[in-house]
Amino acid sequence: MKAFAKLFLREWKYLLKRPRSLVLMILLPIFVTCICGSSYAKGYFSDLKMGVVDYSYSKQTREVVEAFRQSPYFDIVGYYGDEEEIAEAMRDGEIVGCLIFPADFTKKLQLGQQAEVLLGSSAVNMGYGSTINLKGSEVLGTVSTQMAVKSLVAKGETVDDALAAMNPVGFYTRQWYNPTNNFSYFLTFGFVIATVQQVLIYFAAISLVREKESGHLEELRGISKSTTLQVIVKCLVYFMISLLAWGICSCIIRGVYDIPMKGSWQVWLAYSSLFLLSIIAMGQFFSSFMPNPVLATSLSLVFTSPSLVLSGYTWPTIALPAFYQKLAQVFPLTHFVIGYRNVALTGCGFEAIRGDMMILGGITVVCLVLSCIIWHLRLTHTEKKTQQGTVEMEENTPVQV
Amino acid sequence: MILTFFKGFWRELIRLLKDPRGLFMFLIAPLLLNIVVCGAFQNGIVNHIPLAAVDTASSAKTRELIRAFDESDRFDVTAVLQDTEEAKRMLEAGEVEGIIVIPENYTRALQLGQQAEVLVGVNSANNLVGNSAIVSVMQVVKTISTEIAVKSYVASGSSVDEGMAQVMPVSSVLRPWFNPQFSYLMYLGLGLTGLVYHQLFLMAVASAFGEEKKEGILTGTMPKRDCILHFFNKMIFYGVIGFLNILLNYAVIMKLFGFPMRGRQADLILLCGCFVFCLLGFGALLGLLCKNTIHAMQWLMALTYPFFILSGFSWPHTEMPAALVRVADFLPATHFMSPVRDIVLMGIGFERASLVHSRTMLLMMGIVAFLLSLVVFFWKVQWAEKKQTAREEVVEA
Repeated sequence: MKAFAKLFLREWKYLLKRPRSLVLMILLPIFVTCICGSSYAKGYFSDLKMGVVDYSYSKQTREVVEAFRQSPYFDIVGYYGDEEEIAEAMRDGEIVGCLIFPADFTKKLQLGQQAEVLLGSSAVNMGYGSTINLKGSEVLGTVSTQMAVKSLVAKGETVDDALAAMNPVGFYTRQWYNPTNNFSYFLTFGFVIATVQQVLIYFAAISLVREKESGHLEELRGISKSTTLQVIVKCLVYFMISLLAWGICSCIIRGVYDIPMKGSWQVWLAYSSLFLLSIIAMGQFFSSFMPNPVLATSLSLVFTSPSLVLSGYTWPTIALPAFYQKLAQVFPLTHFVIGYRNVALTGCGFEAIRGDMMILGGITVVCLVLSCIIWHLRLTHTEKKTQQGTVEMEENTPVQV
Repeated sequence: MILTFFKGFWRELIRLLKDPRGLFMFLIAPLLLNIVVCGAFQNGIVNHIPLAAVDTASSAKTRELIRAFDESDRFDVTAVLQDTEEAKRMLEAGEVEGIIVIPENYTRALQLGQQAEVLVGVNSANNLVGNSAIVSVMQVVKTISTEIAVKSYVASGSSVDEGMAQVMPVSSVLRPWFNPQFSYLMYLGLGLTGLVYHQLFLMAVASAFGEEKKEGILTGTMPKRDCILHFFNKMIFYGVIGFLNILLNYAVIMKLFGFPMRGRQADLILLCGCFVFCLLGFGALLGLLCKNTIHAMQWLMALTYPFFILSGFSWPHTEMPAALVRVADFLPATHFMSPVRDIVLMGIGFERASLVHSRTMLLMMGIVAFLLSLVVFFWKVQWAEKKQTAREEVVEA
């Protein structure tokens, strides 16, 4: 117990003597939370700048354009001569979408034929593209139904009958868990969690190997010879700091940026703790066998860099190639970041995340056990080498009488 | 002096070759990570989104609707249930990404000539996928609805075209410009390649300068003039190799993943050159100011996501608060990630004001960072010299 307390205090002293470490571990995730929260504060795309090419300028085409103008999602910038001008305007960044009415649009409507309108979007940024497709299709669908119903009502039918005749299967869509289509709900958790992971794994990855590098192994062994205790105490200290940092970030996300947290605090605590422990354990595993801190940091960097992409957070796992799906299972982030978003947005409980929690627990246990074993072997090896060195030195020293 | 200059190049090359970690992080890791990252998006679009259908009044009409979803490339109906709560449970557990709820009166309403209503819910926690899925849902339901309506018109003697015109007087065609497949790879691949390179190149340059403090030109053992020559040597060495490496990265990525090159290659090469020049100064500054290589790496990696978010690459600056946009204007990533995508996918060149602004900013920031790093380097050389002199005096005493 005494050794535990001594090791615990020693680690804290080390960190407090280096405020840079604490700044990185606590303030940086908070900084990223604020950057994310503020950047995505608006939440959705609005006033998307649209251009119009109208080869069939008429009352009907103006009606369609007016419907777009009325929508809060669109801002009609102006009319352009042809598609080439539209493409140029997109390249210049003047507009991000367009409506193109062909020359026969009005004529076809007058003849009772189906008329076609092209809804274009600059899809280099799919945020624009997906919003224009979704909201634009809604506007055009409404306009089309209105026109069809009007013609039947003019023939003496009721609006309901006309609607049933024109659109026998109506539908309403529900965007579950993110009804306002808010991008901050979608992205903030992912970036903040990934930052917590990045920062934590670097510190965990040098936590053991730095003792060797800085020549403090003897001091460490002087306090306790148990490598398990050494590993566990370091793990505990980093866990406390990272839990504090993540707790503050969660409060800011909820309190300042109004992003929901529908799950219970018990789920938050248990799930977050397992995730943080798995990251620390993985970092310590790297630390236990890496020859120096620079290499340990580099390896953890290469290892964690693609983790957000592979986690399925932005690009769903079902769309990943099979090999990547398997590879993604190695990263603790995969088993936390989507689950946590679901806890926050859907309010689901332990049942929904049981599988992920078990995997995180498994990663933690395996990595910690391996860290302890490798660290023990390494220390024993170093001790033997030191002893050998001492014996050789003693043998080579001429005996003075 | 010329000999010292060329010896410096040789020195840099040997140092790099003797350091397998540095060599890997500088030359191999960027390409490796870029292939992994772009490979993740190689399917381009999200298809086969699993759906659960809640069909409480199973009939030919409801089965037709479910089949329409299942036959679409976009969706797979993986479960047909009787209970909405069970479907919601599956949605929460992530087993399905959406639910179709067909009400009990669906068939009856259709038979009576009334409008039948279907609820389609999609998990929109991921907006991009959610939005695309909703557009596809709209298309599937609209197709079924139109088919039913047109059939009734055809039954009353109209032709199919007349029926279509009656039911849907205005039809729409969606056209995603510059990225016709609406591919996520096209959207994200080029910028992420730039970001990975940004981080690893800065790290390589920072390490190269940081390591000189341990043993090398910043230990005070070398004449000042030689130190300054070595500074330029380092800059040129890492600049040239880094420039060739970024070109290699883009060439491999574009070839391997089939990116179209709609702009001029010369423009892309010039922008890459400006970017590498800009990063050189920042990397040197970071390596000189940080205590050691690990500190530099930690700062860099911790700032990866802020760089990405603020660059405006995924969430555009038009939707960001003005203060953050002003900050973002002074980040190299802002002037590289989106412009590269614009050159490759939109085919724009340096005749556009936006690209000229990016080039100017990269060059301006590069010059300022370069001069600052030179000043800091000179100061570090003098400081190291003083320390060395003091050390020698102690030894002599």
